[in-house]
Formats: sequence, structure tokens, C-alpha cells
Amino acid sequence: MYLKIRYSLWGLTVLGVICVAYTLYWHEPTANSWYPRCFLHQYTGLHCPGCGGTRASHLLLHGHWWAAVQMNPLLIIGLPIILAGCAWQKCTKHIIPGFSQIVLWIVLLFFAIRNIPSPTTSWFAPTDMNSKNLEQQK
Amino acid sequence: MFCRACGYACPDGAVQCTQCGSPLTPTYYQQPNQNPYQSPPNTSGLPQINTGYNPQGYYGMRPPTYLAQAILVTLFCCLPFGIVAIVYAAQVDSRWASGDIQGAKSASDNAKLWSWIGFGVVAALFVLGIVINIIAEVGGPRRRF
Repeated sequence: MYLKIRYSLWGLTVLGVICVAYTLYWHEPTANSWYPRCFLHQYTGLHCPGCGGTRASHLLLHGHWWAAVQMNPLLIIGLPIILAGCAWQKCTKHIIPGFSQIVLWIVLLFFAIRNIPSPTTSWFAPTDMNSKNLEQQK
Repeated sequence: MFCRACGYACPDGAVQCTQCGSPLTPTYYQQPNQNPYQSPPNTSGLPQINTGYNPQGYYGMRPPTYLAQAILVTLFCCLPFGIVAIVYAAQVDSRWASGDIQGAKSASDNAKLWSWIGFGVVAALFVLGIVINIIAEVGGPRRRF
């Protein structure tokens, strides 16, 4: 019973990810207003650590991996590494010393440098690229 | 106690699963029968890494940090609740390493709580946004007449 619930939750998660990926591939986030917006950015103008994530995923699905990294490096590079680290700790039952402290500092530093010197001029803020522009440049 | 490998309900205190034979991990608030200063047998096949001084034994008994949930909430929910959850996740590790078992457990509970608060608030806001959009869509054209 316990295992059945567990497996069906994993199944639902995989199904959800496939649906989201399908939507993201066929609909450009900058061209459609119905995509969810970042609440923090809407009300304060600050870029949160996840800002640009939808656009980055769309660019990655279209194969523009470097543009995706520029849009949100933490989501594209950092998240797979962090999740792999968590899974490794869980599977091997070994604690990586200071793992969660390092993750905390990476997220806080990333949040800071996205908004320094200002949210619009920071090097790590989301760029205004989209997949149509990139394909026209080629 | 349930086996983590096959889910079989084993008698409490069993060292190995009676169904599939894989080693059973006691839950963290349960005192192990073995010498607490002895490190666990390395069954993973991977090289053993130094986990530092740990008065209570090993990973299987550490409260969960909820780090994966916290980082997902931070990246996908765009609100500071995720960062609060990561702060508590980091506290679980640091308190556990220094031997503060009760502190690690309360930090773990807080990390879980704040991950769920972040997820719940954003889910509620999205549902509210969709409802407002539908009302605007349905009510919009009628107002022009």
C-alpha cells in the first residue's frame, strides 16, 4: 500500500514534467501572457533566484543551452548538481560535510549578484533573448 | 518497521529484512543496539568519507534536511519562503554535526514547515490568478454593452 502510493506519486510527477515540457516547447514564454509571473519581480522589481527559469527551460528544450545558462545559471547548472548531491546522500547514507551550508550560500550570493548594481543592469539578471531571435541570427 | 528496499513489514528490532535480506535502518529517534561510537558498515560499495564527529551514530538517524524540497520551492515559487527553508536545512546539518540532536530535529521540522508554506501560498496565488482571469474573461465582453 505504502509503496503503491509512492510509485503513483512518482508517476504523477513524471507525467506533470512531461506535460510542462510539452507546453514549454510549443509556446514561447515571452510571447504568451498566460504564463505564471514571478510575484517578487512583479511587486518589488527584484530578480529572485528562480527568475528567468521558464524562459531558460524553453531555450534549453530548443537546444540553445548557452542562452539558457545566461538566462538562469542556477536552474540550468546548479539545480541538477544539488539534486544529485541530495540523492547521493540519501542513497549511500553518507553525509557530505557542509553540503546544505554551501547550497545556502550559493543561493544567497546568486540572489545578491542578480540585483547588483541594479536588477536591470546586473550581469546575472535574465537577458531579453528568445528562441525566435536566436534562430534568425543563425 | 518497514523495509526500505521491498516495503515488507518486518518485526521491530530486526537487523535484516526477513523478506529480501537487505539491512534495515532504524529511525533516527530510536536508539541503536550497537555501540553508538562505532561507524556503520559500509555496504554502499562507494569509498567511505569522513562525516566528522557524530555522537549519535550515522546518517540513517539524522533528521531529514528537506534541502531538495527547499531548493525547488526557492527556484519555482519566487518567494523568500524557500530561502527560509534552506536556512533551516543548513541548521539541521550544522546542529547534527555538533551533536545537538533536539536542535537538529526542530530545525528539520521548521524546514519542512517553510517548504510547505512556500508551496501552499504560491499554489493559492496561482489558483486565485486563474479564477480572476476567468472572471475577467467571462465578465469583460458583457460590460461593453
